[in-house]
Amino acid sequence: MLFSSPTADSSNAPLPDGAPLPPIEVHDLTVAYGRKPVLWDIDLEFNEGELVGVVGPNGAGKSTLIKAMLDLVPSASGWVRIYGEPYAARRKQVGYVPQRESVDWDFPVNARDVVLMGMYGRLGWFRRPSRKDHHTADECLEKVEMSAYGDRQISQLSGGQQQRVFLARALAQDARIYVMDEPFAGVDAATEASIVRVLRDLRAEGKTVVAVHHDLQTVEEYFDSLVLLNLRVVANGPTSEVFTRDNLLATYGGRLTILDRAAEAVRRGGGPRIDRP
Amino acid sequence: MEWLNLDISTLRTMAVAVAASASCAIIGCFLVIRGMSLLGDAISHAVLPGIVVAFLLADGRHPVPLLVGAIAAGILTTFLTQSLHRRAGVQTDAGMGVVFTALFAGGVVMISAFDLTHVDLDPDCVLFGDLGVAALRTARFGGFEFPQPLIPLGIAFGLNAALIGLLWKELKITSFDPQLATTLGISSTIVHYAVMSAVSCTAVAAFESVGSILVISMLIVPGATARLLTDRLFPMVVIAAGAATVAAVAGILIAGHFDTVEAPTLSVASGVLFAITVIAAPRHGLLAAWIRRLLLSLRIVAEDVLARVYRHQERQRVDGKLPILGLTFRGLSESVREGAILGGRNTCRVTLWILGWRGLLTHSSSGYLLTDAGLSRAADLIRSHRAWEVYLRENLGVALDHLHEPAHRMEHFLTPELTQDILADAGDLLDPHGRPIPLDAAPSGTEVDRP
Repeated sequence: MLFSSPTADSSNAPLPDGAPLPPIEVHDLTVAYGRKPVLWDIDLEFNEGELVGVVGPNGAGKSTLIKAMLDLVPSASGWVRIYGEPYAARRKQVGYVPQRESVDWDFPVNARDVVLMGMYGRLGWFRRPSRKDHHTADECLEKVEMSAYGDRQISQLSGGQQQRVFLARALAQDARIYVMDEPFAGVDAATEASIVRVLRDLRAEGKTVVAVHHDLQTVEEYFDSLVLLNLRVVANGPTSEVFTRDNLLATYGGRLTILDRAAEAVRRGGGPRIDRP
Repeated sequence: MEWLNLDISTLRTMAVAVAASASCAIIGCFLVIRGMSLLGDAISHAVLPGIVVAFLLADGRHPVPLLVGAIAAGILTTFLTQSLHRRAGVQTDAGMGVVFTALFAGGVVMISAFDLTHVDLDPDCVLFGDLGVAALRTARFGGFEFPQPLIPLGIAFGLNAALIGLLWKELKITSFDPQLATTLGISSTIVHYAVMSAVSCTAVAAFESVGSILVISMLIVPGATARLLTDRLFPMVVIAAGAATVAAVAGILIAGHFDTVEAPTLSVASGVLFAITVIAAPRHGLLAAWIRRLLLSLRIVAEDVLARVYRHQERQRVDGKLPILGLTFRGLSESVREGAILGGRNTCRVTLWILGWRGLLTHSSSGYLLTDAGLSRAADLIRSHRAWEVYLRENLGVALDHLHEPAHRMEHFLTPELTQDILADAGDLLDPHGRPIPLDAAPSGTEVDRP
């Protein structure tokens, strides 16, 4: 169990040919921190080759949804399937771009080192990146227009450049699904343009991208489908159908007082902690 | 060379000191970059009950039970601290404080209860160790006599080096981005426990030589020193080992010279090395930062002087005066306020000397005047200044009397390309105050008649 989990072996499992399996399927997922539920009964299914935006106000559980898809937070109930299998069996199909603030940018590595980390999962325990992997890392930096900064210590990069390094690292994972937590948060215009270009290239290659997004002005331009989230799924579907005034009001407008109060009641009622299975 | 009074016992002590310091330093780097220095502190104390139990069961200094006891105690500390935090909601630092003091005190109680003082496990030794005494016991291998503590320390060094070598990328990624590591299937928990086990083994190996308090300085100080000297992980580990060796050798020499206790002297030497690095490190040091600030402020003052003379000459040109008079020292030193860290007048003197030496400014009977080169440099500055005023006025609608100060600050930092872009958008050749924006290096209408 120490060095190869039984599921890890199947993480390379070939996908069934022409399978109708959705890249990500979320079924009746509920997630809680401590005793307080932060996501209620989420049901979602994403289509292959789409750019999907996850939109909602602060505290809506957007990051939590992303993390639950990647098994980073335990679910109280429900499940997530990646191409029909649990996440652990499909790790190599999924690339992850965490929030930029989630790491210490003073860490003693340069940009290329960070991109190389994207390949660590494929390398397995003990093995080191080869010369070819270094070459691939440089190519990924190139794709986000950061090739000039490979040797730069990461604390010397601007916020936008750091975000592009994270994106390059996900590209290095060479996955079929990319899950991104606020890739556009606090970046400059050049970075935003660069990220959008990369996202469209990924779509052109038939990859699926799910990204938490904050800027309602660009939602229609960037994303094919939307998940409007506020503790529950308010609406989900093609952007043209879902991105409506009524749906936005329901997502951002009146607080979801019943759910808020229900969560508070669970917490105060001393119910069992439900953040662990 | 009285300092290098290296008899055989000093050399043996030194060998033990270097082995202990270097073993601690290489694994300590990972405590430093993981922000877990205090967990190293906790473990170095908490291994004591493990050691005592090993003594009681195996009755002696056999290394294997000692190491097993140490690893068990280290893992217990790590596990208890994490569980208190995750399950019971106790703050990590509070949990650590409770766990390691309780375990350490338990160890001391066991020592006194089972009367182990006859095997050197007395409370003093537990805290500070005794390098000199430890190095006296010798072992033989193939006719070569060496200090016995080198055996456990050698094992600890080997284990640490092997761990770092084998798990290099796992250590790196779980330290930098544990969440990504988890999604990739690299268990942060396993790596965490591996590091803590290595720290426990190292702490035990170094225990009799330096005790449980000073071992912390060996774990943390070299890594912290090395971090100031490099921005890459591998050089950091190598430099930490080097810094540890230097501190160990220096500490033992100083201790021999002044006849002080070895291990604490070593720690002081290590601390002094760190302090020197904090001050003098090339990139991250205080001195380097101070020099960078000094150079920047001198540049700003010099540019302010050039711009001041430019405006003085420009005004006379507009008024149609000939010949154009220079600006006096007094007139200049009044304008040198911002960033004058040597005091206004002195900074001004230094700056004028530098500008003269670089051929940007000449001094005549009427005062200071720009040379051709100075004029071109000053025109760049004025162009940036007035371009920024245009930008603020036209794009941000800033009031006329609020334009000068921000432009005065920005003129030192705007690149020529940026200035160009601003002016391309504006298309106006006058700034918001109606003064001309110098478009090329030496604009007509501002040349001066020099004596």
